[in-house]
Amino acid sequence: MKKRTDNLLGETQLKQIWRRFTKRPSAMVGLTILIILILLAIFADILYDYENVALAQNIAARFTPPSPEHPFGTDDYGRDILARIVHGSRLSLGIGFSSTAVALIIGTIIGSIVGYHGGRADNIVMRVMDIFMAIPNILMAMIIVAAFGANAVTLAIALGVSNIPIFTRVARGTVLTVREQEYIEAARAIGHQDRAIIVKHVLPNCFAPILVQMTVTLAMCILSVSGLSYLGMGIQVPVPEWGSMLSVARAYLTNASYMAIFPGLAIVLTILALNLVGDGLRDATDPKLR
Amino acid sequence: MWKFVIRRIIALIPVLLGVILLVYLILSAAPGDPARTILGLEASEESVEALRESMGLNKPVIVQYFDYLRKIIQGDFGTSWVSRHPVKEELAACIPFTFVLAGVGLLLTILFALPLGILAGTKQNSIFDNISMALASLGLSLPTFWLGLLLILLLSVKLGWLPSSGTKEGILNLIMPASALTIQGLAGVARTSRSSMLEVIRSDFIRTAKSKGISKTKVILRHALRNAMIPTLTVMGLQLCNMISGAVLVENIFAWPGIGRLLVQSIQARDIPMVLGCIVVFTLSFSIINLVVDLLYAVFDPRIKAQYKA
Repeated sequence: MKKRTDNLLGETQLKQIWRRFTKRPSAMVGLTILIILILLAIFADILYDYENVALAQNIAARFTPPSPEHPFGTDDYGRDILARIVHGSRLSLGIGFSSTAVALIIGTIIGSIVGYHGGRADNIVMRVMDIFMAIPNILMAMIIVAAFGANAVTLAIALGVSNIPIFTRVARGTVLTVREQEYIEAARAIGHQDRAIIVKHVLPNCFAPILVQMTVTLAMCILSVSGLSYLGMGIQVPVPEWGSMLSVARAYLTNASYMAIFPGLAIVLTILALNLVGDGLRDATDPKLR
Repeated sequence: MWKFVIRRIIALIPVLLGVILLVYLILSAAPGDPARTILGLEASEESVEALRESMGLNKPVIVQYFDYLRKIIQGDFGTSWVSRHPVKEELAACIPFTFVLAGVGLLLTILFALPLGILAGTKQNSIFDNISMALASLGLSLPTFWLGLLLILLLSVKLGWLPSSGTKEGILNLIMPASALTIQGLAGVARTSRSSMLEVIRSDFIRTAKSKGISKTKVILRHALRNAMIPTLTVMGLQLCNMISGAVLVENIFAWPGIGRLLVQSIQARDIPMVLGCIVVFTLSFSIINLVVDLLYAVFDPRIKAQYKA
């Protein structure tokens, strides 16, 4: 059974993509940064105590410029900025990954089903998706957050929902090209159920474009989380979040400019890493470059 | 051509109705009583009830939606729940500011991104190509609001060259928000124009043109660029839409009185008629941009032009 999915070199599709991906230095740099960031988010509590370091106020140490003790300085309540950035990565990455997962799972399921069956259902679903796509993600998320409250869970749901259409489109588009292939016809001819055909034969072929879209959406969600928090419509102070830290820093640009620099660098590093990985994946999965 | 435009405008109507319905449903699902919010906690129950009645809030949501639609068709966007001014007037006051911002952004993108992308594409793997594409990757990763903060920090706080917010000083006030808004789009368009140039340059008709002895500049500008424009235009349209929605952040940072700032203020104040008005403007402008992009395809590609005529 396994042989059938292998190509001439005896590699699975995944292995092939990975081999081409590792050949690109910039993609590997991006992946390394991303893994480090994820590890930092996972082990944030071991590095810095959340309650006592990232949250507790220490008025005596207010506005300490970067020093060996506080490499990124301290904020308006004397909290270590590095500690807050490390804990902030939990929110950014956590909300980013969960909203992307929501969008990916729901979008791909809808897209593959309507794409495979076509007909009126396909038409109706895609028109509804057009409506969702007509509103930019960040505005959509803003409206949902305004209606249901600004916290991590609504934020994740809001961004997840607003990104469903793009995955529906990507999945549907790929399914439409795969649907007419002979091996699908063969599977149908030997009496496979539609659901089995979609899961076993159609979805594996959507893997590459969805993976690429995932990195794009992830980067966009992380940017939206910090953007919304900057506007006060996302994570609220004093919870450490990159965007809300920057929004506080706005008031102290004259005396404590470092407050505005480091949380922003954290965002740029994360997005850059994701973009590099995304570019690498795009090239690794592009059939034209094979 | 006109048939195509009319078809597209007709297709826009259901989308717009759907967008309004969607936003209406989400906002009316929000807990809280708008009439109470407007009058404050001290107001008597009778006056709140009276306001609720006059605002039509006692009717089912779907009836409210159709009432709203009927008014919009008559050109009436309702009255702001906060300022009590007609929504149309406030929108009209804000739209030019956002369009100026996005217009300058588009202009900068065309002026800088296109030449950059073309040059990088024609000199693949040169130092110029590598540096400009590394910068483009970086530019794509810069959050607009952080870039805005950095610009304020450098140009207003440290150097004191530019005013940090408002509109009093005209063009001086425009420089920072427009640049913050443009960087991502510029980087995106530069990258796309480079990669589509690379693709076109390898094709047979370019080799033919070169072997005919046409000068290199002419080959690039007349033969390659025209073919590379289709994907570039697509991305340019997308980036212009991004700029307009990015205005939501940038306008707030620089206190620029455009539609993005109005939207954020109205969302925060739960001013539903104003929010809907802003969303209609956003949706319409995206649709118009997409339509213009589709029409521009025809300018660069006669095959597409023929399709539109059909």
